[in-house]
Amino acid sequence: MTGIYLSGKTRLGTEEFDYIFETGTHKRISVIGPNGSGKTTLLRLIAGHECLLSGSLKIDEAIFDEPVSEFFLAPHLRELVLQHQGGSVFPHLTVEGNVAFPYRAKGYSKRNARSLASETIADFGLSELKDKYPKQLSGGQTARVSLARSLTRRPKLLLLDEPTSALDVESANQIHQILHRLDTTLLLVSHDPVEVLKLSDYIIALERNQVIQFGDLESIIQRPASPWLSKFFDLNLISGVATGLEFTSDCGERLQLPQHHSGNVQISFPSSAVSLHLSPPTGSPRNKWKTTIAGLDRKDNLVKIKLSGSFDCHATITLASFQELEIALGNTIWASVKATELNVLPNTIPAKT
Amino acid sequence: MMRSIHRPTPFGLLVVAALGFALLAIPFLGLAQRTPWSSFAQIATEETVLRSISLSMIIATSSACICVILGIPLGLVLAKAKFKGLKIVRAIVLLPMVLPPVAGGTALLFALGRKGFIGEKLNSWFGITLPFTTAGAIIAATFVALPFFVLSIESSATELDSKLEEASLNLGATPTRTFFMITLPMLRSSILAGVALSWARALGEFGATITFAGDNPGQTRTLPLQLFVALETNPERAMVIGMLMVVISLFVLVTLRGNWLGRR
Repeated sequence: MTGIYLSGKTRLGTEEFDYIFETGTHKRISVIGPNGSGKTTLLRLIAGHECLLSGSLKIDEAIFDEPVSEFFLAPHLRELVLQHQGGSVFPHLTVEGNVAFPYRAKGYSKRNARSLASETIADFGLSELKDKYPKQLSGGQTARVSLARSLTRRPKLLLLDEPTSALDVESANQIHQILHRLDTTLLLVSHDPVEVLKLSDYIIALERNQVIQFGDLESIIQRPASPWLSKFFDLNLISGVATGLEFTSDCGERLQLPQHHSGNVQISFPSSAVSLHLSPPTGSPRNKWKTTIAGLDRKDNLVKIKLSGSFDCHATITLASFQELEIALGNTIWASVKATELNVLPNTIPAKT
Repeated sequence: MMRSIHRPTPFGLLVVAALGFALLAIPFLGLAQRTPWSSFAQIATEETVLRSISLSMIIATSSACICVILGIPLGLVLAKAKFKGLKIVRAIVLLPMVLPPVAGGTALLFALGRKGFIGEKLNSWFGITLPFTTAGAIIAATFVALPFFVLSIESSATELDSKLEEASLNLGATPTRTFFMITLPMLRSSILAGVALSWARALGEFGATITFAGDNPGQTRTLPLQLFVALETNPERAMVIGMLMVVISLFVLVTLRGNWLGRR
């Protein structure tokens, strides 16, 4: 566990950034927000490539950056790695040279560094590529090299700036699997709600160069502080197994799929696609299940309802239909979603333990 | 059969380009046409000529080495540093490129010459005199060649992806190690290009050398100086030396600069 505490301001050119949050004991943290809301600057600040103008940055109680006491820990002394968007793989070094770099940086000889890195190279499935140069690699391979290199540093904290933004689904999935297994504390900048839901349990939300909300994933999904956030998290994610056109959730609930799939999958659907009924619905929606109302949250003309039961998900309905249903916390109700609203994500990582 | 898109160049452009090329190429034709080819080898291996060749090589190579040592930090600072007066510093660094070398040589003379304000101290404290010595000729050549090297470093250092250096720091490398393991290798091709350019410039140096280091056979009489002296006393030798310099320079430009710059 690596706790980050940041409260402070910085300025880049004419833009001012104001950050305040604390991550406590959480190890899977996502930084989200619209384009240009200060996500990358936040990572650069933590990594020591930008500095605070006021306030302080502490990691595990140790001061990293504090203008008042004129303290600034140089980037190479911070035991963390910032992995830039695109990976910043060294073009003049081979795959092996890149992955072994953190050992070289510590002063190991070329030969020792390479033998120390060989295990990581094998773990990442890069053994056959080890003599290639970055320009000979595909996007997915480059991302793996970059991640392998970050991990040979054995950082306490890994800062990832959109590690999968340029990757195809399968390469992104490989990266997700590796990240999922990691023991290191992760701070992930992502634009992808599915990635955030899969990989994090704590959220720092930025808008207009400020932290507008931070807290655990559940509470933010339940009470998003801005329209952008509520739109971002308007997504249910359920894991299970697909066999043909049928999906069985981990808890045994069955749903119809829009296309044929097999193996472990996750399905996602927006909360607005869920309809609620007092009695078992008849007619077109085949996907229906019995559920309990576990939470209610009203925002303007919409009510976001947390449903628990065989699987947890959210439904968003209008205030009018909510009043019509005459339901309250703890009530049992029928939920349904059209198969056409389901989005299937194959080859996913096993459910969180 | 190989096919490639052919984009026609406007005819007028070709004509003007040909004129420009002619202006640059015709003098060498003139020289080649008057060169006494039958006695070329004999003149080229005369002792005085050979001595000038080796002296020129020593001076150009030493000067290129000094350029590498001084020019890489200077180019990086110009590319990355932000301070007041940076524009003035850059202008002073590039001054020898536009200044007539004779003026540069004069300036060197008044600073480092026997009566110069530093030269005087060098002489009285350490007994060092630079004029009429090979060391003086190296300083004169470096004075005119260094800006070429610095410019080559600066232009590629400004395009250097600073994220790579950041990544190196994050991976635990100290700033010094980052410089040697990331920055220098990334600048490799521009360092090589800068070496070729500054070496060639130092090889052809005349004005600053003759003004500051004077004409001292065996010490400062490089190929260009030998050429100048021969022009009055032995025109045949002058033509041979001229031709030799054309060949050496052309060789440097075609092989070194072409290959190294093309690697990018």
